[in-house]
Amino acid sequence: MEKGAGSAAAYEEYERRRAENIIWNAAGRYDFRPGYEAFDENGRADLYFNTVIGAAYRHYDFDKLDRLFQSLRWEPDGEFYENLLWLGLENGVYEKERPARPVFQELRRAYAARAEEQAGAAPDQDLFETLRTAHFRRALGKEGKESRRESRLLDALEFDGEMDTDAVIERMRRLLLEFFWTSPGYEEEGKKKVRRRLPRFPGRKKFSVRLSLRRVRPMEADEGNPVRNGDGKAGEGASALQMLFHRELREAQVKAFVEDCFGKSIYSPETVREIENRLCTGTHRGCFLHFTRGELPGAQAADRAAQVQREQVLRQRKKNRAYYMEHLAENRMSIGRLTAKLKNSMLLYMEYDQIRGRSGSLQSDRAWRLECLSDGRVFIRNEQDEIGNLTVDILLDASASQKECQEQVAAQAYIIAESLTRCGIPVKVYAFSSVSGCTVLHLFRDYGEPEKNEAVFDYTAAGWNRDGLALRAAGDWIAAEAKRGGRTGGAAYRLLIVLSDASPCDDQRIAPEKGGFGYRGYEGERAVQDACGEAGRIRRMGVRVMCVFTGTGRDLPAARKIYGNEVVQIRSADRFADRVGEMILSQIGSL
Amino acid sequence: MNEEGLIDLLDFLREEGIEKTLLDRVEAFRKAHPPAAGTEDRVPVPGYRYYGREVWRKALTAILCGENILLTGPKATGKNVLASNLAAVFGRPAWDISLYLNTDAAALIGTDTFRDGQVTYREGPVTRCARLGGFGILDEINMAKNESLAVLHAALDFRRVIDVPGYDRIMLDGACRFIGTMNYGYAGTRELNEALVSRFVVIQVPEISAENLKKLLKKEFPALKESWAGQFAQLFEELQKKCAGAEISSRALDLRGLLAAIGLIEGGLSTGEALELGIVNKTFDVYERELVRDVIRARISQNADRRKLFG
Repeated sequence: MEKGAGSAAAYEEYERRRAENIIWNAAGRYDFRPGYEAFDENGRADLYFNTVIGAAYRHYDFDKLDRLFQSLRWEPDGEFYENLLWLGLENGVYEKERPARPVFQELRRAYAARAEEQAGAAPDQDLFETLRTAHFRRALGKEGKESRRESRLLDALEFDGEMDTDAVIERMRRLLLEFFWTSPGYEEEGKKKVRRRLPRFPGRKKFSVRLSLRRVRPMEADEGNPVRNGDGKAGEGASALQMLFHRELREAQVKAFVEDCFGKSIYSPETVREIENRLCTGTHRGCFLHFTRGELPGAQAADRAAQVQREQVLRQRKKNRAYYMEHLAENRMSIGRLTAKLKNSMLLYMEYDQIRGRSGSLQSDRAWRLECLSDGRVFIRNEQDEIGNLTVDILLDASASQKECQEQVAAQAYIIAESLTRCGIPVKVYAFSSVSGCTVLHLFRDYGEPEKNEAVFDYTAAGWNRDGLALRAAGDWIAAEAKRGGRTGGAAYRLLIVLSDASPCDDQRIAPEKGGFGYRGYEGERAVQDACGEAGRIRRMGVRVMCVFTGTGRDLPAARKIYGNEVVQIRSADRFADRVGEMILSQIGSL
Repeated sequence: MNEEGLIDLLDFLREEGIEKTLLDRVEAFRKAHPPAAGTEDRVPVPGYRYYGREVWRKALTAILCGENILLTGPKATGKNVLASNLAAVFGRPAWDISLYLNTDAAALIGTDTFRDGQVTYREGPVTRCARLGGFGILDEINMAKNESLAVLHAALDFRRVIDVPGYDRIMLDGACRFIGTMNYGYAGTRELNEALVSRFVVIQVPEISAENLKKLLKKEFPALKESWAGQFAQLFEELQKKCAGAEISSRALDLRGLLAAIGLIEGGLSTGEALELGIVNKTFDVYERELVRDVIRARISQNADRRKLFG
């Protein structure tokens, strides 16, 4: 992949996956995460050195080697020693691997030539560069320019192909002691560690690392995130949103805040007002609606709370994309599998038309035409017709209860959207959450926007979930589309799939009926009843409503109450695409 | 297949380690069931040999015992090669019946047609194969709908009969066998129903080993140097592992493509160019292509040519 083909982060991730694949291939197994990866000066995965790393896993007991690496890492000049060890291993691995992989000689020579070329461009070499250059000059069969002491060090470092893991470790320990007066704490045997500074080799700087090896560290967990909801329950934790929950804000303030956090409205204020007048009635009287595509206004939010929330949204978007790239291969496979399944089912359930022809099953009531009219078209055969039009709406719960699995939900939603796109099934993906009485519908991609699947990575969970109002708004969108007609509007079959924990809960209380008293909380049985009514209303429009249930067993009866038998439970968000695929397949089957 | 080809094939089976008694029974079967007149040219002359002693033993025994066989295994394991080899060694005319989603009963057993002012029955490949004692190779059997395959039930079980609605019952010739092939879980396939599966004995065809692949390459390209045959076999094994690790799809795992690539090298292309055509370009995903290319470059020199490979 060329660097310009995607963002820098995507390119880096892509090359990292390549490096891993090269290592796995050389190791002959795929069940581990490599601890080191090698890249060239342009950030591209290096074929030769990654193959060396992989082959080291194959030829040595890497658990033992890894303990040595770890102990080296604790030394004052740890990175230098790690690279030194890799330089030695390169020789050992090369000698071990070459008989089985003759091309290794060619790859090594190309790598060595590149190393020499780089060395030529940098005359003031430090110790590691000098050793590396000398090592690869030897590989090319050339004389080195190193000092006698450096040459002796290199002689000791060139592990030969006969050495096993223990011999390598022993040699490395002796070498460190002899040349650097240090003894890393590998397999402590009660000995007092000798810990000294790296002795100066005349004319050389202490060390630097030019092997372009990258130690792979686990991803930092959510560092610096000021807005975290520890247990993932709605509204808990020191959230910026929570600050709003306790303020009495007027409508304009709420909407300004929501726009700052979630993005500009896709409708004019007049249109939103008109929609609210229609939808924010009954149980939802006094609530607001905000429809957005997530396009954030201006560089800075108006107030600090909104700014904190916005930063969290932007951070989450990056994390969603990074997560997808990290699992790129399996995600692509999932897309391929789901696409194939859907296409197959579409073919399978295509409607048959009976066509008259000159072969097929004889229609006895037309047989007379043969003799009387010399019309041979007295047979019928089955031919497949186009599948009935189907559209799919995917409504994602984006309340804080989904906080722990945002990356997975985004990746899975992308898999679904991409697979449906490839099958030519119109799909619309949107998410809902609720803040200070305003239910936000974030539209990621509309039916006619196959190029916008990546917008699904903007999925971010925050706030409450007023399921009833979100379902009502979704139904309104579907009804508006049906009125508009066209391919998607005129679709004969519609499917609404809701990702939900079936636990509606909002801080905006239910206003009393006219003439009544007291506000009631939008939660528990009352909220479930409301969502149930809205789901029923959508079903009566001829839309099949299904739920992918992410909640606990305690809320399963509520899910059944709202969505009837159209509920499938998933234990992990990773199963989202699979279950949605099954639902769509069953829908195609019943067309 | 001529006598010389048969001797060659039997010699190959002996080299593979198939017991003499089994081969004697195969010979006896051939003698008892010579191909019907006019079907001799349907007896396959296999382009490739199937390597794998255990699978050979099981398949030969099953056919001798009157069983129909379902060969199941991943892509590029040689299921069709084996089916064709079996027809050849038993000297049976073969009907290759590729099944697909729209295959219906009429496509298998035949349909009405109009000929010379008369409505007549036009035989389908299954009925023809049954009548003439051939081997019906039902390729990708799990691509077809179970309803379409239900028409075969009576033919595949002890009844050995095909009842064509409105026409005669066709009794299966004593030498007729059906060999199904399927790749379980392959894109576009479905579960076979139990009723159908119970009418076959099922042979799991394993992935070709590097050693057997090397033999195949040497057989196909006798001038290919031993060391290069080994490297190509290793390359294929590495692609199999990458595919099993779900890092790439099975598109690039293409044995036919590898054989074609070696043929192209013999024809004058460099190794890099030929493998690009035969393997890398089989996948259309840029990312996947790069991964496949890395596997190849880490195993095969890109600029080698036929002088280096063949000697």
